[in-house]
Amino acid sequence: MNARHAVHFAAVKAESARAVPSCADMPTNPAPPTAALAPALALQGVSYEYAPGIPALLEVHLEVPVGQSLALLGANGSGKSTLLKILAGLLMPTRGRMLAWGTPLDRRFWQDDARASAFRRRVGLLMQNSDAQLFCTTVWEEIAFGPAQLGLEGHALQARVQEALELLQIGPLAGRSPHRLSGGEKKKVALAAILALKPEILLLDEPSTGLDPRSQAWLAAFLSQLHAAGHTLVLASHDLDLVGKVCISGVILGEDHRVMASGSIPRLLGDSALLRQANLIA
Amino acid sequence: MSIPAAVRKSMAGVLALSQKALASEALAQQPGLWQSLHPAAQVLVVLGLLLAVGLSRNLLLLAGLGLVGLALGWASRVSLRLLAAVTVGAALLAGILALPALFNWVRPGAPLLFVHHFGPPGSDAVGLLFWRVPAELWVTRQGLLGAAFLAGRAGVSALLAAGLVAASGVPAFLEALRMLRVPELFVSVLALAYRYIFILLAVAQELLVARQARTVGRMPRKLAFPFFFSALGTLWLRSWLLSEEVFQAMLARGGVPGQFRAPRACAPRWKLRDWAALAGAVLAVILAVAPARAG
Repeated sequence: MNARHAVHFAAVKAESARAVPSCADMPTNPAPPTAALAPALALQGVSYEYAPGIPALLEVHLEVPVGQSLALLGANGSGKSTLLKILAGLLMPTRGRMLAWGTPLDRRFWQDDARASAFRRRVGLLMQNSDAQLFCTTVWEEIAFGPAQLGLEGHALQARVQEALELLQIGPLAGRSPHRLSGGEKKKVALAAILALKPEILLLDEPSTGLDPRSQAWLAAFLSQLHAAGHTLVLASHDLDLVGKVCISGVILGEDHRVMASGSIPRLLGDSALLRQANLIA
Repeated sequence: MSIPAAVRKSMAGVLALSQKALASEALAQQPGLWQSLHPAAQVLVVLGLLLAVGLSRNLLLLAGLGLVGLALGWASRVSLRLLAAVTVGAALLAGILALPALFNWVRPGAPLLFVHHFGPPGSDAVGLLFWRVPAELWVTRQGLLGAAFLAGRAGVSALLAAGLVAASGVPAFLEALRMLRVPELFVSVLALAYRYIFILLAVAQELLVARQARTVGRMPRKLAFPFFFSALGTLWLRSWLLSEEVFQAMLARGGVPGQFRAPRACAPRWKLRDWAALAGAVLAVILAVAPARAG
């Protein structure tokens, strides 16, 4: 390699180091043959009440096709986080039913540990509160927790964690405790912890909350790359800028906990009257 | 002191402790001799050295162990000021507790230093409350040695515990417990407690500060009690909600309730320096025990 080539190589390497890392190295788990026929996730007339007479969601119908990038928009208290937890299988609907790749997720489904575990492997949830999501004593353990539940040990586990650390460029944080991290670092670690499971679907609850502008720009680019790499994204957010950059379609939840509107993101974000009615803009 | 004031002071103390914990973790991340040891070796060596200190009946050996602790601390980037402060502090405290045992009234022995003669000249004993004690007050050789041992053991133990544990860090300590086959449930509970105690304390501190910011003048005692208990209730509620979320986060990452698996890295191999450190600790224990057997 002559000096000219060496300079060019160094410049390309530096450019790629600045860029958001590729997600192509984190292939998702193989989808079953029926995946192309049924939506990845579907809600049919789902309602949820935290206590009798206190609804969080009412009569929600929703389909998340494979490979979709869907935004859940809504004011505070409209039920976005509850909806994500239902999609993640953490809450059971009070009424209605949920399907994943065409399979109903009822109580019998969740009683089968093997099927529940298979579902968790394919669906990852980024919680709004990073302190709740990061419960281990070090970043390494945090990222390793999910793969360890899948039975990975030793070198396989080590390699999986290393892969996620490199993808999020957080290798130097591996030995640190989560409570010593900044808000942006916690969010990256939480994302790495989910991506270490190599899920097909990512459910993201207010992912840009508490991030500075540079981290927000990084997050938007990173999520776009995940989508381009074939992940299905469902993103609950107030951040219309982030939604506009990452999502293709959206659903607006009203303050009455019902679906108010759905459609393509350009159409939804272009309707000021609708956004004002949904309390998304002043 | 009103209850909120007392609570505020306690909270400030505990938050200062959390700052120390953060500093300890930062120290544990730095390169150093102690940090380079295998986590299990760290725990075993500290236990061995503490055992040697406890069993030691030789002041020279105690001094030697203190020097070893200082050298290890220095090579592990622990602040020498911190080491000196904990050593002198613990030794002084133990020395004060041992002060009465210096004298022949408490611990009879060979006279070393005459202090005073009580009562009329020529008298052998005087009354002290309900007891008869010798009229002459002496510092005894046995008393002085006993106090020196007590102060020395306390100082060296504090030096080893504070210095070396500070350089280990809690995550390494927990990892060592796992490697030493301590039940996983116990280690996991410790780990979760360590992870969340400071978050809950910060929440409690915020509650107090928020209340204080809206309080003009001194809070009447009859309001202080309800505030204290309502703050406790709020804290309990928040910790319960947080625990729910943590449980959901575990489930969302594939955990099966009651069967959570602790992630284990490939166990690092013991290196020559780990064996050497352990051999040093064993040697210290042997040296501490040997004179006692001979005696």
